[in-house]
Amino acid sequence: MAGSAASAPIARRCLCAREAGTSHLETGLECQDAVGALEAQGRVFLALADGAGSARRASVGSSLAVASALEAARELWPTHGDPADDSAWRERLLGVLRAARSSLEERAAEPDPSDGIEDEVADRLRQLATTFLFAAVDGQRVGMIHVGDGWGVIEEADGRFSVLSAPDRSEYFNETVFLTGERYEEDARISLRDLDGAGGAVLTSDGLEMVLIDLARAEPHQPAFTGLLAFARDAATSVEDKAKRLSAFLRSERVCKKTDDDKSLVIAVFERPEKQAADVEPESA
Amino acid sequence: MHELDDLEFAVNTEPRCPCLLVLDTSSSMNGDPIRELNAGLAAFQDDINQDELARKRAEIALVTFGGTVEVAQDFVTVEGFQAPTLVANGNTPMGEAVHRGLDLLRARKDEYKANRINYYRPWMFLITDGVPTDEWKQAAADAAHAEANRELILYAIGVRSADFRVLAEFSPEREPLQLKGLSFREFFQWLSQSQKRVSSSNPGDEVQLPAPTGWGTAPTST
Repeated sequence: MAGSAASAPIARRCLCAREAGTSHLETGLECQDAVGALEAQGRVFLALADGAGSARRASVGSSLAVASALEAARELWPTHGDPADDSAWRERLLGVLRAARSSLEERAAEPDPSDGIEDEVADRLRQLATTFLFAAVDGQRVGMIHVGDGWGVIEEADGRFSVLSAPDRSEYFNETVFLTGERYEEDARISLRDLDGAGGAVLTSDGLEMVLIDLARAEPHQPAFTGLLAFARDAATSVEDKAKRLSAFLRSERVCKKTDDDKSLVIAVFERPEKQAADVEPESA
Repeated sequence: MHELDDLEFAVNTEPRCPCLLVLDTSSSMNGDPIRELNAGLAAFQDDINQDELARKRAEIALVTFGGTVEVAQDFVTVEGFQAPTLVANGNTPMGEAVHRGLDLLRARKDEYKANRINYYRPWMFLITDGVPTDEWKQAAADAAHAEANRELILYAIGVRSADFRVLAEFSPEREPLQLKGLSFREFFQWLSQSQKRVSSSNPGDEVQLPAPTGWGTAPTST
């Protein structure tokens, strides 16, 4: 893992990976997806952003969005406690979204001397275009806020996987909405649900949907997610080793044959309730 | 045949990049213009088929207007496209041709949706060397409205003495371009390059088309 993935704190029960797509490697572009996860005081926060291929500084935009979202979560939850109801959840998630957007606006306000191109602020903001996926899990509820494409998937108590948040596609294949759009708040979709014994959650960029999603049914590909979560749960392997192996999988020929886009994953495995009682841990991650 | 035609989406599930050419084949295109247009179409068939992804993703359809309006080629992926030899004849029913083109595009989108095929925003190229001889204002308004609704991207291209004021009404969002001389081959090469670029793009990659260098200029006549 590199870049923002390495700079974001990764908790013991979270796993992130991102790899540049072959089409980006061929043109010398770096990976424009950014990933991060944070476990704090019994809550788990996941963030993923997929920088727009058409935007010049998309990797800066996606990294900023992920870092600022997790930073906002780190402040908002301890300060205000868990949201009491749906309306408080919505406001909280919008707070994270606005923090991510502000970080992009602040960056766009500064001219970038390394760029060598003098753009207007509005254009500099466009050059940071990225999608945005953020999920928060407390002891009771899961909330997700989502702008653009990519998927949020949750593992139900019975081990099946369902969609937490689906991509917001325009009618057309290569067009979507971004955090840098004028209507980013209207474009943001919020999903809220009870935890109901859910075993884990996964965020993924659209680059992996040919591998992980049954697109005809718009449903998670069950065996693929079952395998991923089993891999993430494997206690015999260290998180670092798992992250390496996950990255190698993303670079592998069988994945690259299905997609030439950047691909990224954030996986969180929740402790089962019976296990949680026996396995209360200090928050040292 | 119809049932077998439906299988094309089962055999090829790639996202589609549809491109519709609405071509003037009226009698004023006779001689060199139609010859160059036909040569351009043949070169396009060869060039775009060199690209593995574009072969399966780019689709082309041709509507001609010369005396009557004909669907010279309904939508087909370029791997199955055989460039026709068009013949110039008759007057210029441009309005009817654009209406037919819009209908064809909408029908194709319905097929994509019914077969759960992803698709890119369609392109329509309106190419003429003349002045419409039918009622064209409603067609121009409908095309402009369709573009404003993000249904398609319309490029109007005038050849020689085309009426650019008329063409501008079809594409108010984009100034019509004038074909340099009869450089149809250069135009089709550009189209092939553009379709290759779009058909290899991923979600979020809003594609900037190459500049029309080599074939197009801003119109010199008004």
